[in-house]
Amino acid sequence: MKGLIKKDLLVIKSNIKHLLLLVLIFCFLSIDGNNMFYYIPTFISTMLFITTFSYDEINKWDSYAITLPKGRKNVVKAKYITSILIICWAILLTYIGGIIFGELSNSLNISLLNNNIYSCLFGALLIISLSFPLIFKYGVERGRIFLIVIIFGFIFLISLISKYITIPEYLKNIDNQYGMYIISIIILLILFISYLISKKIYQKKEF
Amino acid sequence: MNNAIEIKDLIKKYDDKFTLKVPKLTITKGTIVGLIGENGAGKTTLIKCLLGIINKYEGQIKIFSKEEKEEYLAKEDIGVVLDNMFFPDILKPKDISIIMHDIYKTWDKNLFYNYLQKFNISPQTQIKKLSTGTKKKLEIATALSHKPKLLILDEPTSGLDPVVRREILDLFLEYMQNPENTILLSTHITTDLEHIADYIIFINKGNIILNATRDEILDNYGILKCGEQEFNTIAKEDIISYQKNRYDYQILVKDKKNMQKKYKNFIIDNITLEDLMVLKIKGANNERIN
Repeated sequence: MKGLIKKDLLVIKSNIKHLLLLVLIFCFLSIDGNNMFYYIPTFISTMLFITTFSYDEINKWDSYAITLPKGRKNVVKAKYITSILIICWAILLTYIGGIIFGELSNSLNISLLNNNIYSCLFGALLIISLSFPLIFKYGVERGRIFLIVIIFGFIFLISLISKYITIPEYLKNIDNQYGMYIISIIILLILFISYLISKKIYQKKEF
Repeated sequence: MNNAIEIKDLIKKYDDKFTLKVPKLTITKGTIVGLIGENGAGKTTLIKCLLGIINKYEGQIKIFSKEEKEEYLAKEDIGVVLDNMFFPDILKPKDISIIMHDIYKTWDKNLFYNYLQKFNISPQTQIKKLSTGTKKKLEIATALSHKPKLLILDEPTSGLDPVVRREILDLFLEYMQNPENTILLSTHITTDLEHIADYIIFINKGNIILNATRDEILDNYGILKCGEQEFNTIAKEDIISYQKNRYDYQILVKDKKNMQKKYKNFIIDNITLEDLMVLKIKGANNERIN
């Protein structure tokens, strides 16, 4: 499995120039101090990771990977682990960047930074949880379209609900310690279920 | 056990149109087995079943006496070259070595780099920048570098020029120096097999219609050539299949020596695998004469 993880990291490394360029452009765009800055590295890294699926698909890597020892078992596991590694790396980078940026501009607000980092992490984990099973099932191109449909459907649903239902007070204060634990557990649960579904899809898949 | 591969009652249905059926097939260790047949005959399907790329089928497949459930134990010993299925082409040969080192316990980095040197492949070039032939050589080098006991190759020589093809065939013969090693390769370039194969398996429309040693086939079968009038004098049971050309008939016959005695006035030529394939698939057969 270590080999499969290294494979995705090496694919990303071959693409790293594009990533750095994109990050630079976005950092420049958000230099006036809005929160955008915190989200860019993580989401670009997540999207970049999803491109590894495209490379796999173009070169029919999956068929080849299955012929390797423990191939079918490990492909899915390696994708989840690598993507989480990438997300953690991007978050760490953002955190350090946020602190340095805050210190330099004398506007460091740790709790605001923490909040941004958390929502960043949760958002990225949700994206992979939703997209991976779809990609494993339908391939990158169709999977992406389904993902967009699901995300917009989700936003539409939320906005519909929030129109007709008043959010209870305790949910509004969710960013207190207690609420954070609940959200973390829910996100991890979603991630785990997503992994199980992907694994099942992949076990049955024929190429 | 002396068998590298054992297949029993294998049935893989795709839809109503295509079914692969292999009632029984064993491949002995130490042999080169060639899989021939036209495009879509089922060669790749059979190989995909063997490798677990296809895993919904009826029947039983054993590789080195190991069944599907412990397949990864056998996979350590299998080297694979597939048609257009390989590492993401953005990677470089040196990346392959880094990755494979963690995948195969027996990965030999020095051996891999020796092959690269032999084939004149730079470890730093992206795979997508390599020519078709060089890429194929890289795939074969990758398959050989964990010292597998069984090589399974799907169309390893298609699209390559004769020089590169010969180079690759020599590599296979070198690999077979070890009497424990086995090769199963599919191809539609049948001349390659005339050079190296011990056994020939002929698949047509999902069925194995011939499984014999190369020498048996080449010694036994022959092509009888004659004109239209003479054609009618030949006993129907002697005709396996025939093809009508512009000036003559080409008849596929078995048991060449006896046929030559029986039909002294006719010329019976030696057969090539290509003739055999064309006549078996495209030729009209006995039933149609009746």
